[in-house]
Parts: sequence; structure tokens; C-alpha cells
Amino acid sequence: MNKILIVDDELLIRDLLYDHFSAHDYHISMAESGQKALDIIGNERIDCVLTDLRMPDMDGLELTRKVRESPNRNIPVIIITGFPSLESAIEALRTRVYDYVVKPFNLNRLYGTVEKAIAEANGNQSHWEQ
Amino acid sequence: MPNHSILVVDDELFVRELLEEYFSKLDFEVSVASSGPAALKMVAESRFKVALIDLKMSDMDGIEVLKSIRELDENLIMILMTGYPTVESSIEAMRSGAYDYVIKPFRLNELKDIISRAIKEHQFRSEIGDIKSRIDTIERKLASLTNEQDLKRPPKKSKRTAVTESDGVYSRTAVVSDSDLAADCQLERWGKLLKEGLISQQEFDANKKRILAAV
Repeated sequence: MNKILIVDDELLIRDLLYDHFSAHDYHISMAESGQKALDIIGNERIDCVLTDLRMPDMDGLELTRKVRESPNRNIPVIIITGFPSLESAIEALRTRVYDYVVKPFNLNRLYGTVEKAIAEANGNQSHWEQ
Repeated sequence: MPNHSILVVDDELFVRELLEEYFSKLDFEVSVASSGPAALKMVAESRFKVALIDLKMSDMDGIEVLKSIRELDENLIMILMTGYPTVESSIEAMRSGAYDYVIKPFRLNELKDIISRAIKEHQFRSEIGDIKSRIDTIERKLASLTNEQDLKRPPKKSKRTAVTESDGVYSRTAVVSDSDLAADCQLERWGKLLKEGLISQQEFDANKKRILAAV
């Protein structure tokens, strides 16, 4: 069973994503900050990271950069944000984020994106590891 | 930087000329295309390491060109350029596998740095591709050797012995365990791969060490 890591400083979003993905037979870990997310990634096998862009201590892009520098650099990361900007979207592209999802999002579409990200990573066919 | 072939795709003559002149002076091999279909024809006929593609072109937009080029050459690194940047098109570029999204007007030396990184990425992808195909060849060879050996190879005797007792008479007999046989087979196979030049001496030694440690 695949495991996803949900990273968001808002409990409401963590709960919403937890309910949705656990109903689709995913194992789930949750972190309320970037640092906690990195600790989890260092200790558990994670197949996909879903992270908020704006968080107080470490934003989603910084978290992605640190994942890319870690031994788990190939984990697909999906950024979720209610505050999209051109700068952050271009930076997301440059840090090899798998997708940049703007809130409010469609949960079923997000589920499809996660499935595709994990399938491509397992086949080493992410669009940056082709 | 000699022999790095790049393709510039832009419907504006001024941009094509500017980039061709600048990158030629840096010893890049520069080709230019004024439209998406022209670019696709060139990619089908020649190998490029990096393509710089304008996002808004009259006949075929940059994202479409990028997706069609990907079908022809999956290792080619593609950078989109645009004077009309939007969040939506940058997300679309990400989803389509663009390596970078550059906003016009750009500084030429910044573009040069992006191209240099892109060429390293191209080299990395090519090396990964080579390693994957080498692993495929070795796996196929190993599979065929396994079949051959299953049919032809008589079991080898092990140097190991054991003391046995029968009716009060003790004797020493050779013992050939399954793991000894498996190790022999594996060593012989890796030896053949070494002989055929499919693996290096170092790779052979590492595998030998691993196999013997497991016995």
C-alpha cells in the first residue's frame, strides 16, 4: 500500500486530505511543518508528498529543495496553494515539483494526480527522471 | 563549449538572430526554426541537446511544440520563453515537462547559465539511459546463460568434506551444498560477462565478493 505525507500547518486541510486519501486505501503520515516533514521522510518510506506552499517555518518550495538534496530526492512533491503567484510557480518548476495545485481544488482530480505521480516514480518515469 | 547543439524556435526573426549570434560566439552549434512544424522536422532529422521554444507562436504554441518534440526525443531538454508569462502557462509548462520557463526580455548571460545547466541535465539523462540499457543487456545475457547452464552444466564437486559414520566405520566424504552450487553457477555467469566485456573487472570482483560472502 502506498504512503503519502501530508504537510500543512492548517489542521482543517490535513484532516480533509487524510479523510479523502485514507478512504482510497493510502497509508498516511502527517506533518504540520516542513521540518517535521523532513524528519518523517528521513525515517519512513514515503511515496508522495502533498505540501502546502505557505507555512511559517519552511515553505513548500524550501521543503522540496531539501528533499531534492536528500537521499530521497526522487519522491514526487505536489504543492498546494491558495495564493498562486508566477514567481512561486516558476520556482516550483525549477525545483522539479510534480504539480502545483491551486485551492480550491477538486479532491478527485488531486487523487488522480497523486496516483499518476506515484506510478511514474515507480516506473522511474517522472517527467524529470525519464 | 564545443559541439553542444541547441535549437531556437521562435517566430520572431529578431529573437532567432540574437540567440543564434550570441550562442554561436560561445561555440554552440545553433539551429533555428521559425515555426513549430519546422522545429519538429529538424528534431526528427537531427540530434539536439537543448531546445529554446517561444511560448506564443502563430501556428502552434510552445507547449504543443514541446509535447510533440517529447514524442520524438525524450532526452531533449526544453526551455520555454515568453513575453507574456502567466501562472497558468507556467503550471502547464511544468506539467508538460519543461526544464525552465524564461521571461522575456532576459539577460543573455542568465540564459547562458540556464543552457549550461540544461546541457548537464541532458548528459545526466543520457548516462542514465545508457546505464539502463546496459543493465537490460546484462539481465538478458544472464537469463540466457542461466538457461544454457541448466541444460549443460554437470554439478561441480565442492572442496568441503564431512565426517560420516556407518556400522562403526568413520569416513570423510565430499559435501556439495545447494548454496555452493548456486555460487558456482553465479560466479561462472559473471565470469562470462567479464570475458565478453559486458562488465568491468571491478564489477566482477564486487559480485564475486558478494556471492562468496553469501555461501
